[in-house]
Amino acid sequence: MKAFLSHPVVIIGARLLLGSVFISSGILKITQMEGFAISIVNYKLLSGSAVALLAMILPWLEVLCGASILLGLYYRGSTLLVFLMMILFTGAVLSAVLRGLDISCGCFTQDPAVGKVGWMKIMENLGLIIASSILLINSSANWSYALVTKSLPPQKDHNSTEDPS
Amino acid sequence: MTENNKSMIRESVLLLLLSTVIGLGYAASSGQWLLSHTGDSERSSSPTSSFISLEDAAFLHKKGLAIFIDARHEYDFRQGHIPGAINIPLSEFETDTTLIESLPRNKTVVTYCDGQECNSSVALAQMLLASGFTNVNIFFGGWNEWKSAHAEIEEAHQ
Repeated sequence: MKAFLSHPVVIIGARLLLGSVFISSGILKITQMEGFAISIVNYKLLSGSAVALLAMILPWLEVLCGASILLGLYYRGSTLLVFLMMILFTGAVLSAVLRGLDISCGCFTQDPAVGKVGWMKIMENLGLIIASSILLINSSANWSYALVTKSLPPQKDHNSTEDPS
Repeated sequence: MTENNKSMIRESVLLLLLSTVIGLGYAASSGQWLLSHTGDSERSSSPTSSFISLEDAAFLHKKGLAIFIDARHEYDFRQGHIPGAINIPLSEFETDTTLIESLPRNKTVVTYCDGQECNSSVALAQMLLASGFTNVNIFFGGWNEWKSAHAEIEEAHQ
């Protein structure tokens, strides 16, 4: 299992998935910032200036983290942030579902016509949490800018045996 | 804490700071600044609406710095509204423009509806911006928040 989770193909797959999801989600929020603020308010977890600050900053954090994961730049920091964001997003959706709120997710579109959040969204998020966990437990990844700058150790070949020493 | 973990946290903080700088800079430069500037009637950025809190709405109301526009139906308005507010139901915005045309376009305006469950205040704010108003604020907590805060209530004139 550990060998599978640290397989280069699994890691690059998780990077492509999370990178593309976070970049596209962030860009869509940047283009509909006011709508995103309304989506945050609808969760009834934050209000006032906290909503405004989150609506202005979070989309850019998503874009930067998505790009960092794809490029392998600030790789470990971005994987930690993506993991934490996914936990927070899932917690918010879960609380909305448990409170019976009739709201849309606000994840990729701010159009309320997309329907209310539900267990399907939580399952999708769990998949992304697993993908981010895979990146978090593997401290390095091939095809990373960080490897060029030597700020990450090279990824071990999953087929190689452990050094007995 | 290992050096590996320290480096991870350092990178996270750097990304957070970078996002904050870019996010706030972009919002300010693109006219999408969402934080309210209470009492700043001379705001000169490109026309956009801001969400304001109960405290900000109460401040603007107390000082008489803004026109409050109630976007709810006339029936709800008659049951009670923010003192001094005028009623422009969303559905009547385009059919009856008399009231809107009489208002100065540079005056600070605050729109509201029932509360967080309705979006009429946001839609009305967008219509006001399209009509040439330059300083439009949305009190998203709306009538419910105003009422539950035991703010001054004006019963409608029959």
